[in-house]
Amino acid sequence: MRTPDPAGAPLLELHGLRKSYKLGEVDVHALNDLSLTLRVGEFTALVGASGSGKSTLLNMAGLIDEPDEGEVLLEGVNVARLSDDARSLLRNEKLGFIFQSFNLLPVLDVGENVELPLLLRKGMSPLERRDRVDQALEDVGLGSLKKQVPDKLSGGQRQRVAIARALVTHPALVLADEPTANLDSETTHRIVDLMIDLNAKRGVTFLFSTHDEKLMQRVNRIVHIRDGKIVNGKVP
Amino acid sequence: MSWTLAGRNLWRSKRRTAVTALAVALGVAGLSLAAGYVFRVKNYMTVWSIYHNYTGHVSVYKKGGLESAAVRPRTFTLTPSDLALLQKLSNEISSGGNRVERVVPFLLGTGLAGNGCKTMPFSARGMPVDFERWMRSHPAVLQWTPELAAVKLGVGLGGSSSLNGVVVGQGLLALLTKDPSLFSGAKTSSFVPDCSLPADVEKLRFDANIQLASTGFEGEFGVVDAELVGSFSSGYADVDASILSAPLNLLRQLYGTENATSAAIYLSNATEAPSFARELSERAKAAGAEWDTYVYDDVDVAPVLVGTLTFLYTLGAAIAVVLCGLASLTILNTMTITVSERTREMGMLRSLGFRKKDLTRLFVKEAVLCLAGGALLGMAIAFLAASIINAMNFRFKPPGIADTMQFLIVLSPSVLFAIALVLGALGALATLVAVRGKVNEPVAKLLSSTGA
Repeated sequence: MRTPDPAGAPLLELHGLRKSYKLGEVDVHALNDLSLTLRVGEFTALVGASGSGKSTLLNMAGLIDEPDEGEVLLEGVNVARLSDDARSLLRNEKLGFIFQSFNLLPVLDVGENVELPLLLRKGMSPLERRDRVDQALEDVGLGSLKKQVPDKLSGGQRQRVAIARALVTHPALVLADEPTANLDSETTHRIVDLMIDLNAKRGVTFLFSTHDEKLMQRVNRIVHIRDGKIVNGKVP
Repeated sequence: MSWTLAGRNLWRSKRRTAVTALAVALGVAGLSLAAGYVFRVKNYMTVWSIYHNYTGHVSVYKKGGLESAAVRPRTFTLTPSDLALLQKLSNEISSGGNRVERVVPFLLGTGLAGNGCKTMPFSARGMPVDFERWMRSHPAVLQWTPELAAVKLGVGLGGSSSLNGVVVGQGLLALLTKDPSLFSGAKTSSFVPDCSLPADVEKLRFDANIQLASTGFEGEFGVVDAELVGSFSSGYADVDASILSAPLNLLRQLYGTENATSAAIYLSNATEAPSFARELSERAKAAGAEWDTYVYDDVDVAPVLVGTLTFLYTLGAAIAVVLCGLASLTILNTMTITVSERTREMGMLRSLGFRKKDLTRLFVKEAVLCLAGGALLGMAIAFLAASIINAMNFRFKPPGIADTMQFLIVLSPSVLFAIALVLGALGALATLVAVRGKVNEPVAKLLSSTGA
């Protein structure tokens, strides 16, 4: 994987984030004055027990939830309080998502699934979209399965498609919530290899949550989170 | 690609899509058939009013004449100079296009018709002889009221060489004890009957001559001889018992006048009637004429038309509201289920950058596609049903109508298109209602849903 430049520009800055949810009658404080800085090129794992706030932190970083308090700076711009449309635009341009359960559309083939985020790029021609899709599928080693439907793919192949979809927009940051949780160990190994490869060769910055200890050994930074706070954000 | 995505999502839930489309189809078919019947009746009644009831597309009376011509004909009828001016103004308005087909004077009156032994009241309408022939062969009459187009017996006013030939309603023919076969050659020559002799009374049945008597416009008593040349149906049983159509000159002779009770203007395009009437009123006023002008659907000149259509439209609207409501609820139900099943998918799309309105549009497109399929199927069902019903030639006799009427469904493409548009709009609205709640949920909540 790439070794990030510690003096490099911060890509993502989270300052003093607080977020609470109502669970029945009980208030759950998912984030409790959390701060984190992520630099370009980092390959960072978020580690913590269930309910520690990993998913909530990823939601804040991914602009799919708003903090009650605090700032979220993406490439130096405070994005926490932007309008819904503005955040949607940023997600499309700057961020990529990989989900635990792949979240591919079964009615579209592999190529069409990867193309989905590009449909929102008004200035992009169909030819450009096709080229991007082809490149993204080549990057994940699925160039020959473009016309296949997701139901006919293995778990590992589906996750590769999801990775291709996350990368096709050339995002600054890819967020993944337990990307290997539904995969067997061999497939997990291959997916992690792919992610590391993309980080090293393409400089894609990754932030993902995981319980996988073998994966933790392969990252260049582990961030421990407990009770909604960072307890250890150091490079291993 | 969004239409492709919408279509494939519909295909993904084939059974649900089919059931929803079928519900929409039945709604569209029901609406179309109801509209087709209303359309048929509307055109039947309108043509009946304009042509068979002689209102024309625009009627012109002396000011106050509609109400008072019957009791004070000398003052409230159109004079020859009125009629000449009307023809002139109509030509002026129509110049450059063929807007006016005819300007026809009518003379209305009542009196007594006698067969030599019996006397019956009549209600007469005098008209130019060639008008009646023109009216009965008019394309609108042949299309919408074919049952009334031809005279039932004999010939129309212009079909006989007799200058005094009159055509009577079927009811009046019977009241005058005339035998229908007198129109097919069984006629006897005129004679003075002894009404006490049964043989003479029997012979009268084949005597085509009748006498018309009335008080004239100047108060004098007038009598003319007329020859029965035909019998027709006015469309109304009550009217048939007294109606009589006569040459204009014959009635002018009877009533001792050169005036006309009204004039009817027949246009080539009925939709131009209001603008023509307005323009005619303005020009008449400028020329110093004191007339009342009515459009054919004015309740004062066509109370039966207006009353019937008001009832039909009200009933049709009630049916439309119910059917549209059912179709909308079906769409609402289907889309609500669809949305709840695809909550996580919505979250994924939002995470990729799809905005709330992008998602809303996607679901609306699915609803529109489903509606379009249902609408097309519904129209096909409506066409098939209408073809079968019309081919069965089911006839019925509405209350007060002289003859039987065929139960016809006439499907109008513009009405079908309007139904499709309305249902499309309602379906889109129902989808917006179904989608709105979920689309506005936070993306994180959508992603954590267990739906799909």
